[in-house]
Amino acid sequence: MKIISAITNSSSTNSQENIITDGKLVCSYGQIPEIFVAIGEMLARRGVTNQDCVALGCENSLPTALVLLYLLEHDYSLLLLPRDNLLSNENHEDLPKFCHYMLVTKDYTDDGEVNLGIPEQFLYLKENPDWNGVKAGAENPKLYMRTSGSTGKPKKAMHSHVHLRENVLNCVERLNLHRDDRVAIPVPIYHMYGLGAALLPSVAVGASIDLQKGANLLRYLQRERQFSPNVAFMTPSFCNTLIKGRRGDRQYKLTVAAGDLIREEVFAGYEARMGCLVKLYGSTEMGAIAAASPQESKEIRLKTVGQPMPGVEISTSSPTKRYTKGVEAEGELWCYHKCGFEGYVDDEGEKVHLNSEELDNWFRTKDWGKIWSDGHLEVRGRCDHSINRDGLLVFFSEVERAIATIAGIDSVVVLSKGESKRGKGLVAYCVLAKGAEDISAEDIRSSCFDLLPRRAVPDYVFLISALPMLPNGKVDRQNLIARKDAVKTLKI
Amino acid sequence: MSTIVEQLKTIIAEDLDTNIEKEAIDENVPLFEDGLGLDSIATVELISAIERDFDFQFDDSELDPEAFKSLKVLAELVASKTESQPVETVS
Repeated sequence: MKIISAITNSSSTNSQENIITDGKLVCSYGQIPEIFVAIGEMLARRGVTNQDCVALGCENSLPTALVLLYLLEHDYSLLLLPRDNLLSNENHEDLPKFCHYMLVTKDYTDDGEVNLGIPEQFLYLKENPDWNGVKAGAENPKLYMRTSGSTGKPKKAMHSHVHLRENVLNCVERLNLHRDDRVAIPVPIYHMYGLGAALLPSVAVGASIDLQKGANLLRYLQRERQFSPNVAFMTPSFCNTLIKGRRGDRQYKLTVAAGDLIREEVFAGYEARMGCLVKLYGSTEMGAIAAASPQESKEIRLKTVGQPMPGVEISTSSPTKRYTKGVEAEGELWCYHKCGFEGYVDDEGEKVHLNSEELDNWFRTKDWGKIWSDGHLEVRGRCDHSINRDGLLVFFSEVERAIATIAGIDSVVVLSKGESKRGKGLVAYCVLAKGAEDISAEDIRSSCFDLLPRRAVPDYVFLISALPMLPNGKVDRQNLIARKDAVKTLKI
Repeated sequence: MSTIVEQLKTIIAEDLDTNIEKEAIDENVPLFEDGLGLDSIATVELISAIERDFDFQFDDSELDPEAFKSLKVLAELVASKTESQPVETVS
């Protein structure tokens, strides 16, 4: 996939001087061809060719980004894994048999000198002792990514470089990225969002990039002062942390949020203080499915994830009942993506078929949404985040949205536990805002009666001090479901 | 300064949902990983609680990993902020 050479061969000097950094190391686009030669020579010395599938241990660092870009540019098939997973497990249980080699970047300290022209200084290569002997073939190189596993056991999705590139160009176009942009990427580049929507589109236009590892509020603000980004890729929970934590306002040209639903008040608060926010909707399997454009009105950006990307069709209910253009429809979202994945693979690299999730090249997102008559897409929440009560569907996201409007509520998660006389049990976990500690679970539940139909009023309300979070910025619902500490229980 | 360190320890033990006993807090260890283990949410709470208890507001430029390296270092920042407050005159 020729992304880097398109920039470094360009006659524009601006992009040559633009940089990629991780706060410790820095290189300009102009230096990349030389670094690529050195990486190529190191791999050749070790006998690695693009006939071999390589597992790359990824973190948001400059050495990782350079190796990743090298492998894509030179048509290697590669699997992306979190670097810490590969390092922490001596037996490399995460390393599937179809990967011949494992590449991991070495640790370097804050003041440690690393010469990017000598890859041995920052790169560690190991042969997979369990390799199954299957060659990858460089004519149709693949990118393998693991699903986040937030809804089950992680699966490995297979993309062709050709389709990945189309996906990347869709994001460049929709998000209106430009070579003069300075892009902050605090989301992991081993996920499709960080790679396919943030890193590769930014590289494709030759923008300056700041890769941030383990971003927290203080580190982000520090990097923001040093790097001066005007574009940022965030998770909704980090948007929330930023507007609560930062004291002054700072305008960005564009912030992209993806990975989870973003609450309306967080969206409005973020936009008032930090400028234009757009939502992007996608998955490991499909890449970017839809995204709002910064040119669209605030109302559209608040309510929707924009229009589907070029080559994407969205249908509700099932692909056999195709959605008719120009008609408003609501239901479970199915997606056809010209540049979507090629399927899941097992540890041997063989394709596995999961009938429930693919049908006639249509992908079942398991999200519930609404297609507006003008084609804008509104994503309401996970389908499996809904239950049947009083014979009707209740969406957790709708209940959460209502409870979040009650004064004094900081955040809320609704899920199902046990049974109730209306059907499945409905439970709300609420975190109170600072200074609102006198609100009781009873108060919250009684407010629900004014806001929601009776079937959607939670059977129980629990107060908790903070929501458990997963590393990808989503609420750890499994943790809440497993909680047995229903101490401040309220049962009516 | 030791009083400010004590007040900061009280905030962490009592106001933040950290499950850390006040007596177990070492003012010389980092506040985040490899130390007290505060996450982003706890950090936001800590900042707000300090502003409330010491009656001043941080600037974004002061919200820096270096200033929050340990409670001892943080106490120095808090001391400098409270000292620089204009003295209110009662007429």
